[in-house]
Amino acid sequence: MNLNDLMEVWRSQDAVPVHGVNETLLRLALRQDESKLQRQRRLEKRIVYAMTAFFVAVMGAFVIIMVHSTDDNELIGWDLAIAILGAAAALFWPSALHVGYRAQVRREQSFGDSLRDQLNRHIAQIDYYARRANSLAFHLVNNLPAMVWAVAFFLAGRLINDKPLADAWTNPNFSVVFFGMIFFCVVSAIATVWVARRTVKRDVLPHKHRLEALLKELDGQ
Amino acid sequence: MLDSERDRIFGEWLAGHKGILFKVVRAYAYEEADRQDLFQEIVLQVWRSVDAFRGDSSVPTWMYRVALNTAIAWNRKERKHERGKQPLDGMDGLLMTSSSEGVDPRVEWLYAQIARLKDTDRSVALLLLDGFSYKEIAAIVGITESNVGVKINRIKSALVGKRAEEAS
Repeated sequence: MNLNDLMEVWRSQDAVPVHGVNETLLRLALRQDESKLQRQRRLEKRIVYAMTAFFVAVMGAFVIIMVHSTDDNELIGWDLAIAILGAAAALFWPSALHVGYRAQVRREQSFGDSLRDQLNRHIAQIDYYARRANSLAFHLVNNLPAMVWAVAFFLAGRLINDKPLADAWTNPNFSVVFFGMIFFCVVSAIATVWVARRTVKRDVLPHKHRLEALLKELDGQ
Repeated sequence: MLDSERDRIFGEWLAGHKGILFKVVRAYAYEEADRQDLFQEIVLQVWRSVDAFRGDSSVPTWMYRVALNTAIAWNRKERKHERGKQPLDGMDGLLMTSSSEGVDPRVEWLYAQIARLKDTDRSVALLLLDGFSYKEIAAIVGITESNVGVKINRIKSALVGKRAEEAS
C-alpha cells in the first residue's frame, strides 16, 4: 500500500463521518460565548469609567469648593494645582490602561496566521504577562495614579478645611494617616508582584516551555 | 460584520467542511470528554475567525489553519483545570458520535499511526493526507518547503513502512 492508497482511505471518511454536530446546541453555544465576551468587556469598561468619573468628580468638587470658599484665606495657584493634579492622575489611569492594551494588541497582530506564528504569538503573550508580573516598577507605575490621587485628596481636603499644609507635618494624626496610606500602597504593590510571580512560576512558565518545545519540534528535521 | 452575516458564513463553512474539524479533533484528542472540549474550542475559534477571513486562501485552508492552531495550543491537562469555567459548561454533546458500525478499520489504523507522531508532525500528516501541496503545508505550518519535504518523508516512511510491515 503506497501513500496514494492511504490518502484514498483517508478521504473515504468524508463520505461516512463518524461524528456529527448538534446544530441546536452549537447555535446556543455561539450566542452564549458572544454574550459572555460582550458582558465581560462591558463590565470592564464600566468599572474603569465609573471609577475615573468618581475620582475626577471628587477632585472637581474640591476645586469648586476651594474657588467658592468664602473664607478670608487667599487661594494660591499651588492649592488648586493639588486638586487638578489629583484629577489628572485619575484621567491618566484609564489612558495608561488603554495605551498598554493597544500596544499588546499591535504586538499580537504583528504575527501572521501560520502555526509557527500562532506559537510565537502565544509565547509573546506569555512573555508580556511574565515581564509585567515580575516588574515591581510596572506595578508601582500602575498604582501611581491611585497613590497621587489619594495624596491629592488628603492635601486638598486639608486645604478646604483651612488648615495650612505647612502645619500638617507637625500634626501626628495627619502624618500617621498619610504615611500609613503610602505604606499601604507600596505593600499592596509588593503583594501583587509576589502573587503574580508565583502564578507565572507555577502556571505560565510550564505552558511557555511546552510551546517552545513545540516550536523546536517544528524546526526539527 | 453583522451577526447574521457572520452566522450565515459560518453555517456555510461548517456545512461544507466540518470534516476538517472532526479530523483535527480525532488526531489531537483521544478521550470522549477531551474531544468534546477540543471541538468546542475549535468551533468557537473558527466562528470568531470569520471576521478575519480576507479570502487570501481557500476556506478549507483557513479552517485547517484555525483548527490546527487551536489544537496545537490546546493542552489537555490545563483544560481539565479550566473546564469548569468554560462558556459551554454543562453543554456536553456538541460533537455527536454516530454508531461505530461501518467504520473503516484502515481509517482507525491511520489515526492510530498519526497519534504516534509528534504534535507538529501530526499537523503535517493531516494536511498531507488531505492532499495539500508542500507549498500550502509550508504556509499553513510556517516552515520552509524543504523542511516540509523532510518531515513528509519521515511521515511516509512511518505510515507506508508500518503498513507494509504489518501486511507481511
